[in-house]
Amino acid sequence: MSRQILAVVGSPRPHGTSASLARYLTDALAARGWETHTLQACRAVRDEACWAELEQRFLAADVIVISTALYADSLPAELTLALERLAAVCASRPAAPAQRLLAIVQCGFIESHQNDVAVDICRLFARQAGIDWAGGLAFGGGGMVDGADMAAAGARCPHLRHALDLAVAAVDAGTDLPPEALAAARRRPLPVWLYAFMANLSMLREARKRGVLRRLNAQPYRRR
Amino acid sequence: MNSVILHGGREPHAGLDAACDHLADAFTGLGATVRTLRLAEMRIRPCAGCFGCWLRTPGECVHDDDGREVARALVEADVRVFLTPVTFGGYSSLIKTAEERGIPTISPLFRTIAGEMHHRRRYDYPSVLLAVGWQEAADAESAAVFASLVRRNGLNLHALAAESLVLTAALPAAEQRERIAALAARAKGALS
Repeated sequence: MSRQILAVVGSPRPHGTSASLARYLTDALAARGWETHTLQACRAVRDEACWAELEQRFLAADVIVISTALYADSLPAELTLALERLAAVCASRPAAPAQRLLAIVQCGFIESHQNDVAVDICRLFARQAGIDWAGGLAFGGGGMVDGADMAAAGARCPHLRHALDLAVAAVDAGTDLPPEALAAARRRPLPVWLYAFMANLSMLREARKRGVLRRLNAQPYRRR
Repeated sequence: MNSVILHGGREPHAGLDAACDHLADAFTGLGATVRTLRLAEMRIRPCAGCFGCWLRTPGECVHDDDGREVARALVEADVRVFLTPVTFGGYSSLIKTAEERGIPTISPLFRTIAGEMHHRRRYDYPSVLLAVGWQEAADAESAAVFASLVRRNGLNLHALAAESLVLTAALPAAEQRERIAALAARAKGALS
């Protein structure tokens, strides 16, 4: 019987970077004979049938990967809700089977350490759910992937692709993520000032394209 | 001084409700106005990650629901309080939903502070962030993560101060009240 991995995508954007990173991981494991499933947390908490599938896949999985963007320094709200519900499900099972959980957390800031709290939250979820913690990849500069397929974006972020390749090997071998994988994900590809400059330029261009450049700093809730 | 308490309990919860009362008493005693938002009773759609609040209707979420009221209340408050069960070391999903609807209140543009990237401010009002977490049983590990989260939020929200307090069911009510009063007093001190 093939081993199963469930990827839970935490970002509400269906074709964003979180989905792209999860896809890279699950495709590589599928090529190694794993049965793979990917579900979006936001769809699951909004739809009963989708939730039933998430619950079933979660309980059956040998490995669970949470792939998410950072939202306000931690996990997105609907992923948090899904984890609250899953923790309650896990609390009611008679005996926990051997399962492993790993996390991939990325953010729009260039510093990977801004993801550390979110990784810790995933780790504490695993602890509460009785699942073995395999480790978390924290990746800064998510804008460099911007939802692109990692086969293409890998050229821009070779360190991330390397980290994911190491994670695939670890999952397949049933081991924790090796320190090399964690370190590779944390590599900073650009200086902070340059990344911030490029991110601002990109945002200003987009604002101009959409005709809101002059209103970009609007203050609709200014105190009276 | 204006304060807003975001109550992130999902159902009646003796511990959180008592802490909410203690917070309201403490701020009132300091001469502050207190506004309590019970998030479970509000209709707040989650952030869709669409960037609409930055690039379609700058400063305001595209969802027209109670989330806009949350954002306005956060801007108007000198002291923002998140009251929440400590959830895997973080906030409850209700607090997270409300907090993310505050994203329109920051600028989409970045700046670096002490060599670290942060969003720029949209509003220049000084504010203090407090988070009061509840644990049924003391758990130092999740309390430490909770404290880290509040620190990170404080940095990214450009708060004058950001402080967390974790209460447990084992802590006597008088002690809880005292710690909350001291927390509120420190918030006032940071603003003055």
